[in-house]
Formats: sequence, structure tokens, C-alpha cells
Amino acid sequence: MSPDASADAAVVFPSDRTEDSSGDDLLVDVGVLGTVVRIRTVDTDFTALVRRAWHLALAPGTGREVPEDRTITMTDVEVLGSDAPSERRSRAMVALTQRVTFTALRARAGQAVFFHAGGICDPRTGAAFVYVAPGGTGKTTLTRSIGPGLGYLSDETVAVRADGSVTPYLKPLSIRRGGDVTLKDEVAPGELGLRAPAASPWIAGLVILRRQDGARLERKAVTTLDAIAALSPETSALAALDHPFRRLADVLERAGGLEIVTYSEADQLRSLMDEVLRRTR
Amino acid sequence: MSGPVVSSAPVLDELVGEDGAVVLVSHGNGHRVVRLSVLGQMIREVAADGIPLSTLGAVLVERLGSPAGPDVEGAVRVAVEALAAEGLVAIADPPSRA
Repeated sequence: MSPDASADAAVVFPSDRTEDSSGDDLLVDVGVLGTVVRIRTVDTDFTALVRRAWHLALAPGTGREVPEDRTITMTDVEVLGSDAPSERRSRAMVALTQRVTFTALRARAGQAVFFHAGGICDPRTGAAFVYVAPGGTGKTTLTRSIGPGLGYLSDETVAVRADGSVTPYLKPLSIRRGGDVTLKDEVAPGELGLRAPAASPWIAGLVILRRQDGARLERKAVTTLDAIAALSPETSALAALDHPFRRLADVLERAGGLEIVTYSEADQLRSLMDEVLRRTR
Repeated sequence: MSGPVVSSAPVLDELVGEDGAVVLVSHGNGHRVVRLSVLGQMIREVAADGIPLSTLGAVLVERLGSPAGPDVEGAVRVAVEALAAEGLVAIADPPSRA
């Protein structure tokens, strides 16, 4: 088996993960978007921080071969060292998440449709509610608000495969610190009451979110072509797919179409979420 | 026959429906998605192998019916220029005969 196949085959369902077993205090393997990404640091305290924040994504298994292009090395001792200010460590954690996302997307390009989206699912049926939105427009806030007690899929990137299954990206949530728009904390999903899905998730509903202060909830269904035009800018590696528009159309068909949803507060979306999570395959 | 010829440009992907089409085109190092109306899609379709601009209007009227205004040629020219600006059709003079 090639190293590449080994890394992919090693991904197990997240709820089965109970330990990080890289066997090295400075290594953390995480299963993300259908592949394994290895994080190598120079500081055990920072490694512990990474393990806590990425606890739902830790990939078990020893002796795994991870290709070099899926290995991220964090070498800046000034930033990562135990005496570094918390702000610097937070920035390092945010940068790490971005690198993990980029690495996984590059490795998996062409294997799934990757939406800039958050997602949660019914913990028993796996019915997934996927909400697409540009960065900074409410995905994380919504996930924190409606996610506790449900299966967490991501607050940033959701992968939908050709059979309609959703590959979770169990990253830490990126939460703005106070009023500072430039500083985020990477918070472990478990600290927010989020848990890995207990059933294999599949796409049951897909929306594009438009948050506007003071807006009343408004739902607008759009045609397939309008949906593809609206969704395409909120995808990654679209052109790497075979027949990308056909793949998007398939996703739309499986999701029952696309709605563009205008809202102001996360609570307004609960009835829509309940409607989607009740769906059956 | 003389005058400019309109030809559809290749795209990375397209999906056609009853209400037009979406096309995926190269853009710098990445790509861009363009939503086409029924008219825009029809122009690309009939210009697949190249068609003189002077006859394009008549073909479109035959397939889609007459537009609301009287100036068919003007309306077609505007649509073709819009498609050309998006890189979806090319407008070229026909090769000259020796």
C-alpha cells in the first residue's frame, strides 16, 4: 500500500477515537476531511494545546506513514514556547488550523465537493444540515448556538461526497476574542457541548446564510442553475472535480434543493434546522 | 459573406437548463462561474462552429421568437459584446480571400 493510501485508509469514524497514538510527544495526527494530517511541533506544551483543541479529530494508530505534503511543522519556539504570551499562542493556533485546512483540501481535491460551510447532524440518523456562508458571517456563532446535543460536522468546511455522505471536519471552533476582529481563539468542540456524530452523516439540507441586523427570517428557494452560481464561489477546489457542475447538481438534488436564508439571530433558524434533521433518506 | 464572425469559446464546464446555463471559465490562476440567460446560452449554442454576426439575429428570432423592441440587431450586438467581455465568445473578422 502506498503511503498515500495508508494515510487515507487510516481514517476511522471520529467517535471511535480515544487517543492520539502517534507515539511521539511532539506529533499529533488528525483525521480531517477524509485524510490524515500530521502536526509536528517543537514544544510539548504547545502539542498538548493542539491535542486539547483537536480532541475530536485525533487519529489513532501507531507507525502510520504520513506523506511529507501532509505534514505541518510548527517550528517557531518564540511563539510556541511555554513562556509565550497567550495572544501569540492563539495566533499560532489559528495559523495552524488554516494550514491544516489548506493541507487537507490540497490532498483531497477532486474527491468531494468542499463547501465553505458549517454543519450539524442528527446524532441518531446522521441527517445533516449544512449552512454555507462566507467567512465572518455567522457559521461559528450558529454552530455554537444550535450545535450542543447534536453531531458536530464543522464550523468552516464541509465535504460532500458523490454518494451524499458528509465527511466531518472536527476542527476546533474559531471564536473571535471579545471585540477584537483580528484575534481568535481555537476552542475545543467539547468545551462548547459539541460532540462527534454517532451516525454516518449525509446531506439532508443545504442553505446559504445571509445575516442582516434586524432582519426577519426569510427563506427563498432558488433554481438549480441559480443555486450553482451562488454556491460555486463558496467552494474550494471545484475545478478539480470531474464535471463539477454535475456534482453540484447531484448534491442539490440529494439536499432537496437550495434555499437562501436571511436572518439576524441564530435562534430564528431552529425551526428550519428541526425540519431538516427530521428528514429521512 | 462578410462581416465579423461570432464563435463560442471553450469553457471548463457548463450545465444547461430551461432557464439558461452556468459556465465555468478560467480566470487568472483560478476559475470563475458565469450565469447565462436563455439568450446568452442560445448565442453560445448557435455560435458553436462560428456564425456571422449579421445572420445571428435571424437565427435567434427563429429559435426564441422576436424580442420586445424593434432593434433586433442592436439587442444581439449588446448581448454578444457582453459575452465577449466575459470571454465566452470571440468576435473575429473572417479570413480574407486571395
